[in-house]
Amino acid sequence: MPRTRKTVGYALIAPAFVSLFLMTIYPLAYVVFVSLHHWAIVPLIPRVFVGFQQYISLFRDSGFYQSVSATLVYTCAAVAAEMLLGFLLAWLIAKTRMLWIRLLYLLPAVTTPVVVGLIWRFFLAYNLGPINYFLSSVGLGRVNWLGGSTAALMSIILVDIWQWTPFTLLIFLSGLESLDADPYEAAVVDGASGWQILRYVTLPLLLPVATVILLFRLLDAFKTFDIIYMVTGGGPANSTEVLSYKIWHTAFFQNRIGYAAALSIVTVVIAALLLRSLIQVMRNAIHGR
Amino acid sequence: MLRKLVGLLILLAPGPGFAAGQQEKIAVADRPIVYGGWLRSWSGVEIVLSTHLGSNSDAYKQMCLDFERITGARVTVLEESWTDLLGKHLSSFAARNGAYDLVTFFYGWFGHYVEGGLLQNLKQWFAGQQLADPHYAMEDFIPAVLEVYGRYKAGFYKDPDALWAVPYKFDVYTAQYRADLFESAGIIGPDGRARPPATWKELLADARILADRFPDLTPVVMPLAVDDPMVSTYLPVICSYGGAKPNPWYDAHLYPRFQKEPGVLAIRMLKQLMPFMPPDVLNYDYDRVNILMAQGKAAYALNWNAHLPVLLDPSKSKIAGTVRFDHTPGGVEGRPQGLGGWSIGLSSDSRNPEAAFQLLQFLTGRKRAVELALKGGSVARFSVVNDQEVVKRYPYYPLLVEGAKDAVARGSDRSWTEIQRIIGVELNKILLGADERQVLLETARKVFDAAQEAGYDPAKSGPRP
Amino acid sequence: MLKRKRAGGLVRLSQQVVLLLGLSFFIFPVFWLISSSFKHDVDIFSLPVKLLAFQPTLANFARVLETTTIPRLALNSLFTAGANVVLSLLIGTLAAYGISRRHIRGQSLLLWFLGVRMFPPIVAAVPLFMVAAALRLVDTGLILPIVHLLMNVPFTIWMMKSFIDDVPLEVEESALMDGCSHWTVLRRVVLPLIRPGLVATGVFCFIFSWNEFLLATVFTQRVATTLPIGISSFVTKEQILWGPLTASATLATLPPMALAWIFNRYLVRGLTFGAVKP
Repeated sequence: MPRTRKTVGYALIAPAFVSLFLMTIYPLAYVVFVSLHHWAIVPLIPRVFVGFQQYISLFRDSGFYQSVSATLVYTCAAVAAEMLLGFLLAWLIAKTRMLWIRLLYLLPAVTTPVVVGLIWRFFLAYNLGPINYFLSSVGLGRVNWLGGSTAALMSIILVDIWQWTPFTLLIFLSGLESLDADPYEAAVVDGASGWQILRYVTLPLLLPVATVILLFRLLDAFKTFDIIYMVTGGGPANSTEVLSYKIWHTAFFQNRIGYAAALSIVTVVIAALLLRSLIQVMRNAIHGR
Repeated sequence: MLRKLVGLLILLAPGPGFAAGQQEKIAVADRPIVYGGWLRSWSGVEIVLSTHLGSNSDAYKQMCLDFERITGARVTVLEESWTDLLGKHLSSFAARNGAYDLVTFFYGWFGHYVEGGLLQNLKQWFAGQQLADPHYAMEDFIPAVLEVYGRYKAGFYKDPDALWAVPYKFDVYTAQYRADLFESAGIIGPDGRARPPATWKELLADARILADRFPDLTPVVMPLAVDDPMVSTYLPVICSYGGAKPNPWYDAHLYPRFQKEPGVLAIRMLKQLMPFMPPDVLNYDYDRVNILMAQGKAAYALNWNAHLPVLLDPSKSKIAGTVRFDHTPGGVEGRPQGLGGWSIGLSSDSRNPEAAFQLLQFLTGRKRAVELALKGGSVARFSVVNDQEVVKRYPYYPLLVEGAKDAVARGSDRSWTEIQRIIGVELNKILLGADERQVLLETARKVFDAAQEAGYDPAKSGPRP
Repeated sequence: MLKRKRAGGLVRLSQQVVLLLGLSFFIFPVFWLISSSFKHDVDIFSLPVKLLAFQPTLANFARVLETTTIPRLALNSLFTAGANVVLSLLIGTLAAYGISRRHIRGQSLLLWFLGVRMFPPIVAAVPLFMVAAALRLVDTGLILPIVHLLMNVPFTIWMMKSFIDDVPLEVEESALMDGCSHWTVLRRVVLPLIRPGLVATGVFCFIFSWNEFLLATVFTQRVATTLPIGISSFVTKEQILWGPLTASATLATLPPMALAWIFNRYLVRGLTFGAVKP
């Protein structure tokens, strides 16, 4: 019995494993190989083996550190805000039973990301943008959303929040909907306040679902490309040049596949470290309860 | 071993011969001439033109339909976002995909195309008897423009006679100003009409006047977003302050020279203009500048001429009647004008190069040039500039030829796209408040390194700055 | 069911107000997008924003549907997303079942699948393009459903594993005792139980694949191009053609919204079932 179980198990996993393995292992090997060369996309341009030189020049490049920090700030801030906001809204929807509203909340998630970027670039414009128009007509000043380094980074985080909070909201909502009633009754019997119930009953019960959302949102935010591409193009200066944008520009605009490959490898390593610590958190969350 | 394995995998990619074999080739001589004494019948032949959607596209598409009707060929026009074109052309060529017959590209990408072997030398093609259009009139192109759009002298290809491409879209950096606003602010010339600034200093003074007179309007707006727009705007400024012409960026060995005095003065001037521009002007690309102008919210702007038809179109522009055009301002060293623009070339993995070459001539030849310009296209031919109807409809045309006489350009070697990004980022930093001299020097070092890494030899001209 | 103390009317009202305010933030841009698609060019940028008070026109839609390739691209997108969803669900569910039930180094495999999702697609694009070109798959209908597996199979595996984990083992054991084959057990016993999860995962896979931009620009040229590419081509070198852009973007939101609406009930129940386990 155990042996057949194993065989059947391998057979079941085989299609996923083989297809993903083929689609990642060759690219990965290629990327590692290319990262050790000066390498242009087209073969006619001389390709020179340079060892780890690209990695060295990468770690000497101040733009690289700027990209890493922009990526981390972007990822962490956007995901944290999406988790909080998603939870808050889901909680309110569950409390007020306004379930009809959830489909409307889904609208941003189904809008093509390219268009999302364009809309928001227009919305955030200082002179012609509706947001500043609204702010100044209610007596608040105009905000320079895209002109400064910090402001631009915050603005694209805002766009990410706009687009992806619906995703976290929906999953949180389903989590809340499915919670068992017993712990609540016990808490009410014990005379817990609303805040205490939220803090000591609801949140711990939601932790597993929260970590799953966190995981997927972090990975996706880490790879964000479309929003940057459309809203800021990495600017002003390189304040919003996240890693995926830098890789794209280096590879397809500068024709420097070698350097882009080295950047990619470092990116994957950073993402892997991020992921590892997250998995740890998740394990603790699930087993620790 | 890995190297071998990867090499093997790449070698395994079958060449274009595999797919091209399906099509039966008919000798060129056997194809009857059907039009104008040179255009042959291409029935059954498919030609793929890769380009971007823009002001020229409708006119070119219509001409492709004409070509189909006359020759029986099937022309597929692939319009993509212009930012994706370079990457797509390169990867498609590297994979020997044979997807494109004619490619259009920004001349700043020239190095990637020529050094990468993507293009055929058109010189032989034009010299041939069987396919060339006898009335093509190469001399009708503005020579300085043809030089930048068609020939490649940087890098590894030193054949000065080779013609790699012909002009596809002619672009000169121009100034647009609101005559009504200038007049009511009292910025007028001896003739009593609006006087656009002739120098950057004058522009600064005018901006002050405009700001006082119209507090709700943006006095000046320029494309200053990182990368392409930033560098395009900086180009005429640095050259009018004495930057080398036509290339203020670096010399023939790619040794940087923009960090010297003219470069410092130029960026200082832009810095002084910053308070008169929108606060988020570092996010302004050409499109945003044009919209701000078209909406009547700005008094003075810089932009490529290809964007100007929008300003003259009353369905899109509130200033169609009041906008006027001028050269970009100048400085102590004259009034050089920035050159942009797109070329069209014959792909070296084209499956039907003969037919594609005829289409290329059909699209860019003298005969249809005026028609193309009237439909909103931008053509670098004297015959167009001298055409009354064209000038009546697009009053900025004479400026373009005038500007092309003292044109300055961006780089076109293979490392230019990288260098442009570097310079754009650093210039943005200066406009955000960093010290200009220090940053420019550091930028020059980065450019030196980038050129060296790309295989050029800037050290021939001097030590690392 | 969330049990709560009877909240005061005022509290409840304020909660509803917060919800509606939040809603307005989230749907106002989409509303602007949709209303702009019915506008003439001159009205699009007018301030204050004209949401309803303008002369409506169908010209943008007519232009998009009649003179552009958008309708064909929509079919491509439907095929791409549809085929990808079927493939992802098939492959992913089998793998999830295997991991959940057979305990084959499940943890490390799961992590590896997550790692695939983490891989920036731009990294894989160039080498994969070489392979796809060698296999003559570039710009065919097959290529996008296949490369989109990169993002959707890991998602499916993680989602479906948590759904399958919730199916009591005893149900399957007893079916096996009765002499059913593994295949029959999966098909007859497990699948019906996790159908809501399948639907929810499928809807999200559909949305991901429907909106995917980067891989689509690299792997298609003209035959197999999808909607996001077509929409972005209205961003021309000289200007953004807002009319056709907003019209086609509005059209592009319809299929995913229709899907979400049809499976609305499943969507929430399905996610519930999977994501939260004791």
